[in-house]
Amino acid sequence: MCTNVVCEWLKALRLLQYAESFVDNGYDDLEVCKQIGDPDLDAIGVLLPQHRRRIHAAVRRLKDEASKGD
Amino acid sequence: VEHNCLGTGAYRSVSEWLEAIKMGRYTEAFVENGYSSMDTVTQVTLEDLRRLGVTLAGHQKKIMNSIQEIRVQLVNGMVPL
Repeated sequence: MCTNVVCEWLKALRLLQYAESFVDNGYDDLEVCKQIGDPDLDAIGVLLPQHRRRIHAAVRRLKDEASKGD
Repeated sequence: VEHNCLGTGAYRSVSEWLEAIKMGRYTEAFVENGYSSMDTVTQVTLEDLRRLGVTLAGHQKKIMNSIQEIRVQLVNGMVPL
């Protein structure tokens, strides 16, 4: 079912219900997911504050991991 | 239509193309800024998208990927067999 990295990422966050909308809106790899902010979540349709917080925190972790790699 | 074998022929209009990739919300911006045919759309750059108000990274990616595919189809369709 989960064939894409974003799917795996959302599954780990227990937010798999948004997977289709992420991909439909072009957020289909973790590089583009690093750029997610509030306007992106609005477009994707993540409206619940607790879900938005969880994604914001995960995006921060993605960025942190990327900067460590440098 | 005869030129359906050319990539851009797969979509009859900018509106049909944007609807197909679920970016229909930008149809008006494209058409109002002169990108009203599929021929003009193949010339669009990332900079143009920003000017059109496509600011979300995912939407930029989706539209640019689709334009890239259309360009490839166009080139392939024009290569004589």
